[in-house]
Amino acid sequence: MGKVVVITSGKGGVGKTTCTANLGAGLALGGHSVLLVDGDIGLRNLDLVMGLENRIVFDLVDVVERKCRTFRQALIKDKRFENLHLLPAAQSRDKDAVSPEQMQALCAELKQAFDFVLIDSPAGIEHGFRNAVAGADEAIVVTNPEVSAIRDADRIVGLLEAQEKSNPRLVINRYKQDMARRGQMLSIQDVKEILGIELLGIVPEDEGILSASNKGQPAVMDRASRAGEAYRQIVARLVDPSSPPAGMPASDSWMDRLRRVFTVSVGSSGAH
Amino acid sequence: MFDFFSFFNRIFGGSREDTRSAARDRLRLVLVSDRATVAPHLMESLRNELIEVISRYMEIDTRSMQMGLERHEGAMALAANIPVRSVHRSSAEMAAVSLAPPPAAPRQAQPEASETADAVSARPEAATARLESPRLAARRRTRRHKRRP
Repeated sequence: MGKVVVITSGKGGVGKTTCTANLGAGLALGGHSVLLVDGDIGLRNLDLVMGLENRIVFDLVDVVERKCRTFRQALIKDKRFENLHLLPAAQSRDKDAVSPEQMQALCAELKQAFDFVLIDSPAGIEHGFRNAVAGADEAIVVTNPEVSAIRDADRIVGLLEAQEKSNPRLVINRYKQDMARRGQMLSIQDVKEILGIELLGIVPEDEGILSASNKGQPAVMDRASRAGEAYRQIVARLVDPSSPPAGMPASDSWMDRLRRVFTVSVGSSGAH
Repeated sequence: MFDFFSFFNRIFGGSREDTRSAARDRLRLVLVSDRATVAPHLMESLRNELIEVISRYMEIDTRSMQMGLERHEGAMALAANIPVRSVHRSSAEMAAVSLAPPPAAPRQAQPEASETADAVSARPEAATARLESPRLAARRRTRRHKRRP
């Protein structure tokens, strides 16, 4: 039996959908069977980021309302991967078309069929969020090193704990190492200390993420992408908790190369 | 790690503000009040337990008692204003026996005594017990003196 992982954040626009797409694609590349569930009813986007928007027939609400025979009928198979499917959200319905109990029952059924069921949660803490977390075994909280995203993430962690979804893990997205170094952005250590949950990974700011979603092709498929490399590390950690702890993927901007030349180590205190 | 790069950056790159620590400190403060206000039962049960503990030692006026998080410059404080009606004689005697300072540290209780005296003199209508860090108490004292010279 597989497990259900919800990807959530509280604040919108921090990269939940991108994270879900990349973790799903990364897990599928690693040979796991994966189902991506778009939990954002009314504002679906995971299909677009995955490049599967033209093949939707049935959706999550149809499955819950038994408009299709089995859930399998609503799944879109991603042909680029051995075993990756998407269950899209309904676009023309409201978030309360589905109840947390229905989601719980659906997730129990889905995890019988897949190694990983990843649920892309909508922003906010209302009905859509409660639906998305209802059937989840684990939670990943995505945040940016920015005050409002972290405040919302803290709220989400509190709500997850209240629902006994214990040990949510943190992904810090859009991290800019050089800004943090100049004291213009919260450091990884700051975010870890403030939120006090286990760090699953750090995804650097990468312009390639935009071109990846332009094309509908997750960055994790691109061996040269820095963000893609970060997602591959997170995937490794999701599969095997004993893999090396989260660190910053090697940077390769000319600024960083230049600063490596100018940086000499005279003490033991590292950047992080 | 001595970082030549940030050194050059500071000299040639203009003096850009360190906004990281501002972000960190503001977040820490706001999360204290967020967490306390989001959990509706947290302050309520803290209040009830405080009343229970204090009532073992003194009779307090729970109806006019005030308690809450307050922001003082760079820190959050749990500030409680608890009017004391009387101190149980028996518990005072017991406390004197069990909490008698060891001979090595005879002056331990002294600062608290002065704090109580200060609170009483500032608010003659009720003896007041304050729960706050010594640093904040000191700050409050200096402010109060400023206000009432």
